[in-house]
Amino acid sequence: MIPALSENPQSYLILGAIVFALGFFTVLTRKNIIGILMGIELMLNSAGINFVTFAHFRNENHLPGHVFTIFIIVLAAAETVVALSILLAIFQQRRTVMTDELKELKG
Amino acid sequence: MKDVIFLAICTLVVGGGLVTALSASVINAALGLLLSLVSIAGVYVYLSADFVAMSQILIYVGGVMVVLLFSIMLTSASGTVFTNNPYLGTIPAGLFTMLFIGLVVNILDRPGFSFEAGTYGPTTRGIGNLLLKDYILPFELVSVLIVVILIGGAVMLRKELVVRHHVVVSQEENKKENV
Repeated sequence: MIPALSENPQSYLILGAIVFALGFFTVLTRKNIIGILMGIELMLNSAGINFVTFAHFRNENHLPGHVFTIFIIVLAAAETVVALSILLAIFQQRRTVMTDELKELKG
Repeated sequence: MKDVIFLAICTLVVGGGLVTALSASVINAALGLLLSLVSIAGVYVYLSADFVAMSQILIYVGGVMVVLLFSIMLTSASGTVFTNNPYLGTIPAGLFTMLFIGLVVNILDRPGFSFEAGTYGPTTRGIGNLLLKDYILPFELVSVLIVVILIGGAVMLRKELVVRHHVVVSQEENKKENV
């Protein structure tokens, strides 16, 4: 018997893969730095979905997965705040947030 | 019934992600991301992760999205918000994305890839115990990190830094005009 869709781990993992792929696509294609950050948020969320999925489909000791997901959420929030404050500082100096116009950094 | 709601939630997640990935307007992309994040909280509920779902809504929707929307409004000249999200290289990026999804589906289709049935129950007490026993070091490190980020954000945007640069820029402009 095939288990119901919401009781089958494969469906959650495929959902996580689709969300990761969308975030990856966003990061690769956006010029706006804020858009790139949104893609990173999506990718981090897909990691969270995978953690909680693998935690749920075990019989005992599934809480460490939840703890790691909470750490991911908190670190993502922290990363967003830092990235956006850097972005605002750049914007105040250069008046742009497009990656193709920020070419002064020589490496 | 359970599956119908699950499919609806999945559709919302993917739809919000698609808006984020494809919208020409950065505000619409942010609202798509908001939809996606709220629906992912629904997915967490389906995985019996009630505490994680609540943290997702509190931190992402209440914190990250507000900061994102604020910085969109601060960095876009009014009027350009709705056309301010150009993208490039769509075809190679789309190919990579399709390749990735195909890879994951292929891996999951292999035989011998089995799980135990999940159980449902409250998780908050267990998470609290774990955070204050097994994971006390990362927990405290996260507290330090948050303090560092508060201070760092304030330092990064303090007035002197910005004003000093504007003075330099305007001096350079004056020199150019004089020449």
